[in-house]
Amino acid sequence: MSKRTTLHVVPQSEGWAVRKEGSSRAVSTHHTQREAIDAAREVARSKHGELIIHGRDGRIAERDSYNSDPLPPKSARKVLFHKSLDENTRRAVQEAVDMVVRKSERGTSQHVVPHGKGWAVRSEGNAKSSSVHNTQSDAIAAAKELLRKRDGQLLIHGRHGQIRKISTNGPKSQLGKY
Amino acid sequence: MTRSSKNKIPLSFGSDIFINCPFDARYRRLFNAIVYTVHDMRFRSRCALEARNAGQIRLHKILDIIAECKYGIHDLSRTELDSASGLPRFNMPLELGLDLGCKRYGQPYQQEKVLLILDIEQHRYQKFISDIAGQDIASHSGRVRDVIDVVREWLRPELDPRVVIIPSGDEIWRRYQRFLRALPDICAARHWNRARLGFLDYSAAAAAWITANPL
Repeated sequence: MSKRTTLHVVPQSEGWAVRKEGSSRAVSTHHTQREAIDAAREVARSKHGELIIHGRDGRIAERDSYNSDPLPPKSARKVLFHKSLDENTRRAVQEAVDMVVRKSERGTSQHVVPHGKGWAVRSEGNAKSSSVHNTQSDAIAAAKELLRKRDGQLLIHGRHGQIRKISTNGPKSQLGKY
Repeated sequence: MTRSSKNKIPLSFGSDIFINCPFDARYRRLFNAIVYTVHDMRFRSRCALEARNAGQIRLHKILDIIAECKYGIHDLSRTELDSASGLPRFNMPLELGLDLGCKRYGQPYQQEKVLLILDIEQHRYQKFISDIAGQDIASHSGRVRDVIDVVREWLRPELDPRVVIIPSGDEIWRRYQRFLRALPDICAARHWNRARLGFLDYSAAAAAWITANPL
């Protein structure tokens, strides 16, 4: 296992420095202690190391550990957005995505129903047919094509409207399209 | 710039990844997959496209991005002559050189940079840029599935599996397919033109979708 990284925030003649333990060279220098602490904390976090903050008198004033011993519960790291996105834009995008995800989780079932002398494809909750076909097999193919892009069930109705067959069609890969 | 501000480590240095690759329609599917993988591994993508309309000299902006990113992905797969001009494009090797220079001559923390060089074939670079031998070079064969694996494997040692959940290449691939299926609806909801989706909007959509679909 590699040695744990320990970073010290120490005073120097002008401002503050961040030093890696065992190295005399400063990793970075800063005007204020706050800037030095922020910089050291970022490195300590990324290296799962330790941060030791010294006071003006050189004595240890504070200590923070970012190592994983004892093991904390496993979690996914925070998702990072581009820094140029302001909070309002980020929130608006998140709301739009949440809405799409919720809708997708519900799925949109497609019904193949009799329509005059032919057959129609109708989305669940939609009174209007999305397409009309001469044969039931053409309508089923069209419904499957719709379900290729979106999760949902395929419900095939008989001539008298009763549901004859239900199948769940998951969408297939669209690698070629992107 | 004062010495102290030059030495200051940007707060996001350890999580930002500079992506240097072709930005044309032919490469788009690979670029989009790289951006998604970077975000699904919980890093942040940066690239020259964010420099547009910034009122800044493009090269200066690229230099700033390189300086702010610990990680760099450099795709050199586009070596053929441009069909319109009959000339090769040198932007990608130039930006790789800038990143290598930053790693070599930059601040101490920049010398910890981690770079990945991509090409379409494993050893082809030896025929046109042999001086980069010894760097971390991988091939993606022009395939989305492969580039996801390559980027994931490259980032994997940077994360501690005892602390964080690290998705497998297969998992990222499956999640990416789901994201692509949701993307048209996300674009519609945001009134974005799917065919002309810019980098910032695409990366925001990816990050938001990943937030809504945690590992």
